[in-house]
Amino acid sequence: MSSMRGIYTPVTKLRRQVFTEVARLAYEGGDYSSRIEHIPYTIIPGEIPTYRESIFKERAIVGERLRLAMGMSLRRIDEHAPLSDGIDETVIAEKYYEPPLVNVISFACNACPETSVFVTNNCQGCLAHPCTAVCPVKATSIVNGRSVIDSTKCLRCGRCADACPYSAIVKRKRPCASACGMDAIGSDGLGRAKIDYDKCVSCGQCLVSCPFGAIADKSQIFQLIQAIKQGEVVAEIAPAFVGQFGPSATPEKMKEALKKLGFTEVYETAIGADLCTVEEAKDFLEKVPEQQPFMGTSCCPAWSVMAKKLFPEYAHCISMTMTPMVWTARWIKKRHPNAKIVFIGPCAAKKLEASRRTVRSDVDFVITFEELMGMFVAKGVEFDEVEKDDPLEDASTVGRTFAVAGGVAEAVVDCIKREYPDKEVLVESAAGLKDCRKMMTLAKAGKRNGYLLEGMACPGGCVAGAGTLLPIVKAATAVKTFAKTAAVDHAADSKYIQDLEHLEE
Amino acid sequence: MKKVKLEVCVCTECVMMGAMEIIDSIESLKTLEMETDLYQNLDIEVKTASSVCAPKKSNASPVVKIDGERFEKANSATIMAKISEIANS
Repeated sequence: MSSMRGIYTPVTKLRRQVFTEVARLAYEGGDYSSRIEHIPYTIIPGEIPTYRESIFKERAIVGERLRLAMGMSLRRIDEHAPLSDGIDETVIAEKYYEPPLVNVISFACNACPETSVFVTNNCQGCLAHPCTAVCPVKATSIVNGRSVIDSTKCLRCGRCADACPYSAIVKRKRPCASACGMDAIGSDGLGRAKIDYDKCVSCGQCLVSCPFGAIADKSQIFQLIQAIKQGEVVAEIAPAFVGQFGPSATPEKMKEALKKLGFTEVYETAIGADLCTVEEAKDFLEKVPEQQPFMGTSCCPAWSVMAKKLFPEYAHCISMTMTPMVWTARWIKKRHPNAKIVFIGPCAAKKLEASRRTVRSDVDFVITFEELMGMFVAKGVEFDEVEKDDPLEDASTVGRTFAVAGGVAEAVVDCIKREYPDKEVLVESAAGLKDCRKMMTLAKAGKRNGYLLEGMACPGGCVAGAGTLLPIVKAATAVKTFAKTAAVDHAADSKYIQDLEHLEE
Repeated sequence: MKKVKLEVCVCTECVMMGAMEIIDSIESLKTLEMETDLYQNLDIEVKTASSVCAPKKSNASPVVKIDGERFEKANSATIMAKISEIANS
């Protein structure tokens, strides 16, 4: 399957320009109602459209993206409302959010046809016609020397497409629906993408897959900056951060660069990853197989929500330990009791996790790396001008490697083997929700008994999250390189392990 | 061997607007050896710095210089095309 990930497109540009302008608006202050009306003209200047058939439509779409970036909901298309409608309620120093998180801007949607298989003009009417031989339902036949597919019978399995020696049969997928591992995207009455929120787990893969930029999630940048202007805000930054902000943004410069944005202190979320590792190892040893047949890791919220939603009878098999984000937030709160805490990460789903009743008192805001980049640009922060190197030295090698698929399981196994070197721990990792579902299906069928199952909603792990800037392979390499510089290799050797008992519920 | 010197700005704004993807696309030209030998005889030198786009202009990012010629609002397609033009000349 082709993917736009890692390719810079006009959609990427628009998304990041919106984050920058919202950050700039928040930092500069003033009459927000009036200022927001002008921003679409900053992002889409002139009179000639660049991206769509009408410059007015381009600005209208940017307007809806601005609203989402400020935490506001989309406006109805069939009712008049100014762009600034409801903006006064958003000017607060705490999270401003109501569901849904991920939204389709319906008039930006191309109404792409749902998955279909069809024969192109490239068909040569060959003698072999393997397309007819492989079809399980006899939907493909040769008519007047050409392959023809009966769409009423077609299963859209794509076998004929795979078999065609001329690549003349095409399986056309709807990009957003194809990226969705929960089959949560259908169509409204006008054929436009529509998210089924009963199924959606907010992984964000659809919003980075839509070639028309019609899907966006809500942001908390605006309110976060209000909080920074008003008081103490401490940042925890996810281990996937390495390399995301360009070659000048070395790990040693991150703390000072973040302080230039107004954060009072910065810590690695990998602190919590170390704590989570120790707890999950303990969980696994105590419970598997006596109390439960297998154990799933907890740190990816989209994976754990999927597992509990689709396999409710096995919900108890997903580790109950808190995620690294929450462990780290609690750890920070002990040291900075009056501070608000922001999690900065690669992930859209963490925004939902932080809204859960059990978590919302620990984590005040969640922003992504892309949103943070908008803040850096808005504030004019240049990493080359950061004079002081202030290394992040909080976590272990394995804690930092949580960001890459396989890293969580590796950390937990490493921890188990420190205590029981001869113990064999069976592990399976799945990345991408479709593969995660397959893994859970096998587990449900009893084929993963005794296993530690690591689930990651994003293919590649957290480095492939919807809020990242760096291509996945480069990001994985950067994370592993930085991880090796940690002062300790193992989670159990973290200097903060003794804090565990004080942080539990 | 023909030479071409590229300077890609990696200031914060230029990185946000796709500087790293431009660098990736330049590096990818050498992998086209099966399709063409156009780039095999071209010495492509890529340097990065945070000052290439200076003096900073609004809406100019990302900025790339090719043999001293400044390209504003650069993208992978235009830069690769320019390199191909040089390789063909």
